[in-house]
Amino acid sequence: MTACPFGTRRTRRWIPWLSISVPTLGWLVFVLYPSAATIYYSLTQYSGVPGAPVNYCGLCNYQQAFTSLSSQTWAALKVTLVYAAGVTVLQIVIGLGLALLLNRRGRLFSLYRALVFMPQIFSVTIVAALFSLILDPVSGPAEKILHGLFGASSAFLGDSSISLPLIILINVWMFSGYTMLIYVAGLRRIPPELYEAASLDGCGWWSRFRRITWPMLAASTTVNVFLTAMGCLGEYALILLLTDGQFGTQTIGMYMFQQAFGQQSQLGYGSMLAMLQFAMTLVIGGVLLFTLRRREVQL
Amino acid sequence: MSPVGSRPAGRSPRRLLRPLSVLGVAALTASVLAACSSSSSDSQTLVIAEWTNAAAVTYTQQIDSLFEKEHPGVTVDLETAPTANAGWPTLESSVLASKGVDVLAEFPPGPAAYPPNYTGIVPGNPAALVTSHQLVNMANEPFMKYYNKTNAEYAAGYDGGIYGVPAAEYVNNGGMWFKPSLLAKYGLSVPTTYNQFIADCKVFKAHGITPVFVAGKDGYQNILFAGIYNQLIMNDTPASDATTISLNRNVAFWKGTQKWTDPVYQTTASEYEQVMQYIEPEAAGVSAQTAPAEWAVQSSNYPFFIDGSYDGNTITQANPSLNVGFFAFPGTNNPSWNRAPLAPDLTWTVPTWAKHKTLAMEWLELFSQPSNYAGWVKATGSLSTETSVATPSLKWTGWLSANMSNAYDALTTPWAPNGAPTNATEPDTIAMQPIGSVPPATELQDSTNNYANAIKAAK
Repeated sequence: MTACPFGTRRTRRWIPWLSISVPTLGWLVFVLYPSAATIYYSLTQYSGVPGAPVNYCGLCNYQQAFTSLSSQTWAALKVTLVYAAGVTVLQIVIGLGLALLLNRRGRLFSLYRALVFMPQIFSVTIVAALFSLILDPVSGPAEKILHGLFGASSAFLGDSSISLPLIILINVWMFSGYTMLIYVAGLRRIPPELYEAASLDGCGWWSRFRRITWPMLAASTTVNVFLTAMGCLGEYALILLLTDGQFGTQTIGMYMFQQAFGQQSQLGYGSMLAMLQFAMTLVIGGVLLFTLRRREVQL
Repeated sequence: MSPVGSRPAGRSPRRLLRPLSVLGVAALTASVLAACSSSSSDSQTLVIAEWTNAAAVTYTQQIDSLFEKEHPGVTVDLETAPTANAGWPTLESSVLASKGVDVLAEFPPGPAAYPPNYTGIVPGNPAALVTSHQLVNMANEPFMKYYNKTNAEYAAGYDGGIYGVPAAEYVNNGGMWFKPSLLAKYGLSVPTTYNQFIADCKVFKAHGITPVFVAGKDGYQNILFAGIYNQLIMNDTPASDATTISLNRNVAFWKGTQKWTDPVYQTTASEYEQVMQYIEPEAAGVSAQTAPAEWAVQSSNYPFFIDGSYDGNTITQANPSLNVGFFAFPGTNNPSWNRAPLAPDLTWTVPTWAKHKTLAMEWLELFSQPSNYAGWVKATGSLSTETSVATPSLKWTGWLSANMSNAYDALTTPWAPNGAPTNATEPDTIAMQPIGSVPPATELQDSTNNYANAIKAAK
């Protein structure tokens, strides 16, 4: 038996407790406390300015959100759902398409996959700055191309009818590489014998995809759909930088950010919106996970 | 049998480990404590936070260098963040939460930031800092003698005290830039009435020139909307009455005796709609960060540009050869009513808990010395708020110099309960046509309804 250098048998009993105490402390300070504080602040009228009075007002913020300000709240919830659904569907379709296209051996395909994944490593600020310049309606290249090809012009991000779809596309451009990588990993786990057998049975490409590839990618789809949808339900950074929540792009996350940390910050109201966002994420996340896992079992 | 028992007698590794561990922990603790104590007692770093305005930041750095020279051993750390995309509020919250700032730039609260108790409104930043006694009252500081007292009281006054140094003042509402060469080319002069402005726009349009440019994506067209109603409401009332008129208007809105559907706002919306027919068609996608430079480089297009006077340096730096001027948009057909509404801007404050309060006051003294302040207003294009320093004569300040004497403090937006929709406090010109899709009359009605609902909920 090897001797333990740390203390006697008596003191050694404390080692497990000490070991978990550090992460527990971290959890208490960085997870439990902020969560509890958000719940509490959502019940107050508080500007968020350190040292300013925190006035407890019960459910006043919740009441306001669903009575006098309900149109604003529902509009933000609706935009969030459209945004999350749009990004999730497009990202899954494009990510899967790219995975099928680039799941081949060879240095060139490795390079292509790296290029497709690259936008993921850019910060949101860089991506937003890049697309703000591209989509500038006076001096941006998008305007020149649109004008050159169709003789038309557009305000792009300043046009309420297309600003949300544009942000959805930018998000998809940024994160499709990640979705692709998860699908590539899934594709490589499918036994080639299944395809060989299907080919011998005379199955075409579409039939092989529908009966082998898609069902065998169920676990990858669960991960991709869940992660993408959850990320989108809390989205605000890209929107903040591109449109500041204007032109029909105010998601619940953006609305919360503006209320809690905007120029005339009201952290109490913002915390209430954070609680609404949490509840929405919990419900949608739960439903998605339940449905997708059940689908995995069925397949 | 204990594993220890199998070891030879003498100092076992475990026995050695214990005193070594104790010594290690003690040494670590001592070094951490030493580091802490040295940082609190010896550190002479004056921390200043200011939002990003290139000219202002550059000049502040010059003052900082001067201050460091005059105070050997003192370092000035300047923290900056852009006002766009909530960058500045985020930095501000951070330095306030960590109590890590000695001199903090603030947008001055003005008297409307302290709603009466009956409204139940919790003041936002920076008024909340004042009411919670976190800003130093500077009314009796020696350097305040340099500043116009009325200005300082309006910008940072509360309950008899003055809680900031009003370092800058600009024309925001009604602010309009123009290209004199383009006007001269078509035999036009700076319009002094609303009808003249529209006539000028028609002339330009007839020559294939898009008359007006604006950063529509960030809502700068609101400068026009607010400028018009400021002039219609203030008409030729003395500038000294502006604060009273503004506060009475806020009370009237709160009590429901004034609404966004009132005739004055209907007229405003109608004029606004007419002017907006002449803007760059895709202005809704132009951001405030790029607009001044985009306007400046297109010397043969866009004779007018809706923007505040704070962008003077950005415009002149983007195209130094551009002949450029600034005036207040004429919102009425009575030239004497078309005065410039003023907006106090950067105001230096010192938190009561600042670690280097004395140094902060010395820095403000240095900044406020007329010779230094003269450099500041020249660099930033700000109107002077010091009594002995004249507003600088720059190539675009001709109209301002000639008309500043009758300018007044801009009307503030009505008090809004927490969480009120954006268009409750003022019709949303981003939603309104032509930037948005809502007809002006509908937007006025929406604003009225939203304000009434927000007040009802608050009561």
